Amino acid sequence: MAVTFADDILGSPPAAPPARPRVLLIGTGFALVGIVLTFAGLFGIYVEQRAQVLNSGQKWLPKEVSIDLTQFNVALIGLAISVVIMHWAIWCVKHEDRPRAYIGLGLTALLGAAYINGICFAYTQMGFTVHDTTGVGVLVYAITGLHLAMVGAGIIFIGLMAFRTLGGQYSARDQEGLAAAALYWYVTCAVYTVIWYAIFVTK
Amino acid sequence: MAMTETRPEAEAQTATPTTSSASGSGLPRPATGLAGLLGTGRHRSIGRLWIGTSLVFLVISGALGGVIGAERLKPETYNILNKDNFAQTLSLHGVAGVFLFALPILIGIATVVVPRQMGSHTIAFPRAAALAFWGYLVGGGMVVVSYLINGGPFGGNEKGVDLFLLSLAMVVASLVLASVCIATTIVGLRVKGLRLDRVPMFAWSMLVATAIWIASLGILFGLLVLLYIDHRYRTFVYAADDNISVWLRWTITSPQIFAMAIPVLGFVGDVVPVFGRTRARMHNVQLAAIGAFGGLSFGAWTYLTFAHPRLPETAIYIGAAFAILLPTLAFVAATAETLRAGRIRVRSPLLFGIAAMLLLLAGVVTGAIRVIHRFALVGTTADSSIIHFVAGATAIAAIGAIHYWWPHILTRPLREGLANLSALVLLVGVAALAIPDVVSGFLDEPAGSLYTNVRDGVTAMNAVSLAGGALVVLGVVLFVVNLAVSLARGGNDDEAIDPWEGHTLEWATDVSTVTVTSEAPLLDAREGSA
Repeated sequence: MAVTFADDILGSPPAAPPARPRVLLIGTGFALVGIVLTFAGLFGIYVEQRAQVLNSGQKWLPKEVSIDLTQFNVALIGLAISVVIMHWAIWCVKHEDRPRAYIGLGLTALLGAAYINGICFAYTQMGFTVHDTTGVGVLVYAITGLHLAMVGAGIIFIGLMAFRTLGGQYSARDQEGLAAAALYWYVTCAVYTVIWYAIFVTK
Repeated sequence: MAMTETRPEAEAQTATPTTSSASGSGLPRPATGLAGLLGTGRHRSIGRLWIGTSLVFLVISGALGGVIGAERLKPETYNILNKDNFAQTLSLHGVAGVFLFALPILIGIATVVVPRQMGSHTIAFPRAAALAFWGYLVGGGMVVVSYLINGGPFGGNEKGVDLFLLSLAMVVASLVLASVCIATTIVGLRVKGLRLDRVPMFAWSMLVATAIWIASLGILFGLLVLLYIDHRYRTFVYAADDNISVWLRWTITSPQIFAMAIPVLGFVGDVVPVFGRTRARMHNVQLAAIGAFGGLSFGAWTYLTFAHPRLPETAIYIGAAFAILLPTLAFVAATAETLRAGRIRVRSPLLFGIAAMLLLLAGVVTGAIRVIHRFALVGTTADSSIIHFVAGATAIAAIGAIHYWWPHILTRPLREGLANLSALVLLVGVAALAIPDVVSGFLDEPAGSLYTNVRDGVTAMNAVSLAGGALVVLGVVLFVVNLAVSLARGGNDDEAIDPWEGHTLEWATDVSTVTVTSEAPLLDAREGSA
């Protein structure tokens, strides 16, 4: 017996007045709360585990690990530049300067890809392994690996918004999607700044 | 680039199933059957999928609870299970109860109801909402499979444990995604005039709940990734099999367990004025109480308990356990005042709501008693009793919500007689299930394992608890029978769209004609035209 649900009889409700703007921005904000808390939780474990290992008289980093800051400094500078460029891209859209906006969005995505490449290269140089007794390798790979995924998602987000801009969805009147992508990107870069300091600088 | 697909929002706007036909219009006919189900972006369909699937997981969790209850009849020896699969069964009972039933059923109800309460024809990000459901379905199925292949916490099959961590992470990510959709709907898709302090209480509670869930489940997701990497590469610094449950325990203990029940308060806040035939008294107090309850139920800060096992003895932990009593009592007082001032119609949603509120209050009181140091209840079955009080309250509120919002969820109303009986049986059942565990806690029965040196009275308490569990099963069976009868009766041509004379926008036949100037716009309209 076919089941007919109530809305099949009642029909869809009448359309509401136009939705308030900034839905994508609000949704991105909520999602970022979850993402930031994900990293906050992992950093909490990192700090706790590090303190426990040091208190027990062991060294936090295994002796075969060497962290050369150059690669991570370059990555930080690259992301910092990408933040400025992303902001510039939105400014360009606001001023209907579309060609420069596309260049800005493309450069931001490119710097993101360069970051992924740089961190993956650094993985090969650091000598970290997940099989250490202190648990530092697992933590470092969990935190930086999740951040790489976050950067990858950011590149896709920027790419999607760039295509929408290309299609005319965003303009001087409305840059909501781009603002959402920018917000995501800024938080991505902020998270890396914490990683850079907590994991690589303080070691 | 050619745009060839129809956005779900547009689909929802254009869909008028019984009257409109795509034939002759040149538009593609909307997919029906399985294809329509898989590709749906309609919030009602997605919500129903959440509700139906979560009820299946309720059956699984309940059946496992029955086995555990039977095993505890002789708490010093294993009769049905052995030590390992007792721990696994208990673990799946908890995981399925919280992550596969309680949170998802609330998300399902909210997915159906909240957009209508906001006066919106769609949920925010309908494709993401659908993706969240399918992720939950696949992830939830894999969680169960992981236990079946001897995985999960305490599992002997390492690949099964890997699968458990991965699939639970998938479920958690899906719950976060669904929460984002609901929260965004509440904040971003309100009709004109519907300020945040005027949104229906259920929507407000869902906003608070989803914010807390996004934050705490975000932490849980990171934790699961860490455990997965550790376990997958067999490092075992963090995820030795016995440790996994320790890492996850904060999600089902006080105060985090109360986060699951935030929407219970919202449901009560919505039904009491309607069935009291009056306006909500102390509306702002109720809003603030729900906000404070939500804030104090954020328990992710206890996730480092593995490193600080004495955390429950700290002042902040004890203070939080007592502090959450205040908003709960404030909410109960405001509800009682509304009932006192009104002319009560006794209907099943009201009974479910009051039953859920009483059980939640009992859970919060037990949570406060549990942290009193001299009672030494932490780690005893008092922990289990809090979970059962809160999960019971959540289940009763969810079932009550299905009764209340049946025109949005079902075809026909549920039978009031069966519904009232079901509410009563569930109230008595959950109380009988949980209260003996508090007593057993005082008698030093540990949570989560069988033990020797069983003190007098524990076995009797466990028997009462099992009987309570049987009553809960009976209550759920009554609901399921009621539901099946309702569904079997098919279409509904003559029932009212607003059977309860509701106060909020989900009961409006035409939102565009309603002016929102208070938290009860339909009541305003009725009083204005009277």
